[in-house]
Amino acid sequence: MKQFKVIGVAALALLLSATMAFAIGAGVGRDGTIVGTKGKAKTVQELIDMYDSTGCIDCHEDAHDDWAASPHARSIYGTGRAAATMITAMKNGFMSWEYSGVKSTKDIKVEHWMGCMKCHLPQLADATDEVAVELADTLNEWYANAKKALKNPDDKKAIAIRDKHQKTLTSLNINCLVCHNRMAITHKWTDGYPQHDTVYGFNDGEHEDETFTKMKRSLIMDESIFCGQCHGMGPNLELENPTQCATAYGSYMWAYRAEGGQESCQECHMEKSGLGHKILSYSDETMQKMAIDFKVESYVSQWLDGSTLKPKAVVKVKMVNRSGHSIPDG
Amino acid sequence: MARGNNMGRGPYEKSSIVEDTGLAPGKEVEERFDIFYPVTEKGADGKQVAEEREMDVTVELWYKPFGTMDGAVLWNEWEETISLDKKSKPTTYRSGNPK
Repeated sequence: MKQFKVIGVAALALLLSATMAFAIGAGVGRDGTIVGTKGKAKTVQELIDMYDSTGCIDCHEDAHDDWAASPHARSIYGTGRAAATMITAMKNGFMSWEYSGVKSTKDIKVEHWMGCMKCHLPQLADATDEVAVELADTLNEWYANAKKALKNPDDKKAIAIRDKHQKTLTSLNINCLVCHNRMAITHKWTDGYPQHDTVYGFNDGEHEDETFTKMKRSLIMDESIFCGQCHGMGPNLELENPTQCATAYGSYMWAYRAEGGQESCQECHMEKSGLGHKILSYSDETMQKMAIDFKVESYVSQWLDGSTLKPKAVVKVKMVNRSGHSIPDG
Repeated sequence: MARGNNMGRGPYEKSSIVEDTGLAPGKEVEERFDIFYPVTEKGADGKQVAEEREMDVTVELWYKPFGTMDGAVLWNEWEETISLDKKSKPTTYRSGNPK
């Protein structure tokens, strides 16, 4: 009888571990990722904490300061306009689509958000559907109170709620760990899964940190494919309802590299521009100068058409896009 | 949406490119503007004369992230007084062509 009990417990344990491995997905080492180790975030705050990069600041202050001035530091909030667009994407997008399964925000799942968050917050894939609902509610409450505060600047309650949600939304971003861990390996079955105790960059060795104790070389950190994971190829056909946002990497491959262009995203947006982790684009004066050859020439002519005089100035504007992708793009 | 000829600004409003008016990398694009001077009829014979001999022309290149002037960034500007007479005022360059 005793023997039966032991076998019963062992069988149960085996069954449980097999179920967990199946839930995590295929691939050796996947369970060693940050989400594999910690489990999916169940609240927005847990998701923020899961990829908290404040521990990087002490040793990498300059890179952090550059990043803080970058659009990556506010990838879903932007200037507020990006956050408002997320709401539009929700209301005019998956909430209005007949077969999406979303009638109200409580029906929203992580996969509904992926048309936006695939790039604006890729780590949302490491959260439960409850976080997808909480994110929608946070955005809606932020917007409603931002409007109230705009209408009545003395509405202290609205201002407080707006600011609280704004802080939450700006804490959800593309930070050190998103790039130097989660997104640092594209070919995971070839190069392995990004591990929970490792930061990925240009070196192998030990890393002076209590949590991230190892450094490993990322084979894509200085390659355009790294940026192409988000600054993408056009329609996201892998989604249940395809969306299209950035097309920069597609343009880079098919209109720049195809014509002999040799530079990478990082070479222009980080190195030659001197921008480092600011990684700016159209708003930066240096990038503007690098992007376009702009020449104007003019002359006059006086065309006498019978008895009709038609004096005119002719202005010719010549432009050559010197960047590695179509302009505008993202 | 790649299911017709509609394409919207929002990512949820498109899944293909219906038309691309952007600047492709490495490709020269030329825009030509013909701007006519005003003429008036003078004298009994109604001869046409261009009394305004000079025209101040400004060319501005704006990057419009949202398709409007909201958040638009001025990338380049060229300004010149173009005269019908051979000798024109000195050219001014705020940016654009090298001096």
